Amino acid sequence: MTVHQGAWLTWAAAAAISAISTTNPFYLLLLCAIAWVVHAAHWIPGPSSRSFKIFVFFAIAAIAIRTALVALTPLVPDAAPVTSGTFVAAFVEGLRLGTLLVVFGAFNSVSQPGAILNLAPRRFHEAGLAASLALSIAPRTIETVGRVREAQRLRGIKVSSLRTLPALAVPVLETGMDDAVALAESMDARGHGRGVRSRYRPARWNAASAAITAAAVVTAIAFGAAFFGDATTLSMPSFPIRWPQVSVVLVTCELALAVPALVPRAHR
Amino acid sequence: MRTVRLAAAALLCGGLFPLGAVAPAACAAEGPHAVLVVDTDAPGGEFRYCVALPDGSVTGIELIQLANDQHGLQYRLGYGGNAVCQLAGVGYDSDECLEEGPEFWGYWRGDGSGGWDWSSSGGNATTVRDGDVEGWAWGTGNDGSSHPSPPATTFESVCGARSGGDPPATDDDGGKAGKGSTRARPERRGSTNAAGSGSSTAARAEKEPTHAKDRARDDRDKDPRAKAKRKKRKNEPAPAYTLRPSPTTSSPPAGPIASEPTSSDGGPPAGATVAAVATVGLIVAGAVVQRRRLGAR
Repeated sequence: MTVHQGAWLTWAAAAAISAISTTNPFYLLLLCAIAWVVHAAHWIPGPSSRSFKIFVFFAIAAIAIRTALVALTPLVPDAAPVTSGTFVAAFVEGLRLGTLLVVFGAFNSVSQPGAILNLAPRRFHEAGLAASLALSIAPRTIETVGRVREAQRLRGIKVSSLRTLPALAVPVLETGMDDAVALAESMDARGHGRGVRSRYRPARWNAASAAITAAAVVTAIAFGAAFFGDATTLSMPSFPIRWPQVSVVLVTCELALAVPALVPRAHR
Repeated sequence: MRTVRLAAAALLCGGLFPLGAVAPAACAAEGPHAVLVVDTDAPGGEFRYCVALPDGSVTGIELIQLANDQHGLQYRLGYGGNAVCQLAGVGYDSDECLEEGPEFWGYWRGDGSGGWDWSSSGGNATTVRDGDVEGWAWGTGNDGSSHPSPPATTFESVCGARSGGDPPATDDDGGKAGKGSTRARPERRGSTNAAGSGSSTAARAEKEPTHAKDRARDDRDKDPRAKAKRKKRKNEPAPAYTLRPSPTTSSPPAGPIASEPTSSDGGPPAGATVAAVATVGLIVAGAVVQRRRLGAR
């Protein structure tokens, strides 16, 4: 069964809410593991699945940088003395940010490109399409640069020298223009911008999507209730450093986010 | 006579520390103590102190000053020293801090069984005696029906049993408050940083204010008792309290702060084990699924 994009969006939102509400490393690391399992089970072949690794890398970088920022404390006038508790507090804050990145990376890899666009109201489809094309200029340009470099290498031009860099500009810009015109023509041929409406192969809500959405809502409610109610287990005591308390109830609700891993993947 | 006994106990505790043979029970039970709970309403911002009292009784505000001497609790008073404006870095800077905003430090007094009664008088007019529990909570609300109260705390959970029983074999919360278990570093629950295991002073880290305003160090400097205590600090680790770290050193985490009652096995709580097992299990499952998918292509 193909999972409806709206279900993935709900899942990602619930995971994000859970990550933001807590700095308890037990909850956060469990969330990362859940995101990893969901990615492993449902990634869609393409560049977005390859980028999951990059998201994990940036998550680790965020943790490292946030922890290292503690070293800048002496620059702040009248700041509290730096202790190991300060490092621990910074580490868990970085971990929270890193978990958000990993969750987003998983959402990115399981989502069908363009399906998110279809979730928006019909009026925004054109604008959304334009926005996503504009955002894709960076990867497209990188790809073009790679192709131009390859062509130059085949013609015997030394690409490693810095002097040949200006020779890159014209072919890349020209290729970019050509690609844009070709894209515009093909979109025009398909009727974009003419107000023609069709619902070709609409996504269906099915049992799997409903289960994922329901489970995600449960998790979001559990963490929201804890955040606004009894938030003892959501924090990591750093002054002084103690083992954080972990509520089994919250862990169970968090495991509900792993329901997508139980759903069999759609075979194309 | 009492102060002599106090000093003797302090020297005993301090002097025997290197041998590790200190009799911690005697240390904790000596002399009058009161508990001070500070709840800054931020995650991880709850502090509990076992404060040794001098002879006689003190007011609620004087208890805060003693906590500053003994544990480094930051505070700032307003209205001529009659009101509490800042605790642990949370609060307004001005002297008329009660007009700065809707939040203020609400004053609660322990009712003897862990609960709280809203205090009808200010911190400068109350009497704190041996065995009392005092609480300050940051928040809005005109009185006890709407203002937040600190987390439930009993005297025993912070200062330890009063009859001077045996020190706990493991680190449960009753023993945390200065029965020497803070010195016995390997037993200390949750002490993930062993960097300070060699030092002879257990240090209490001060909470880093999340919205740091200027901390009124001058309040502490003006207190005459603070000067005398600071001089003897290094040589006299008095019972039941820990010492303030010097501002620039990275001190090890420790302190007589008792935690909420959790597992008594001295390790991570039970829920944490469940979470850790689940995490590892899911990572392995993910690896297996990934392998299978990549292998099948």
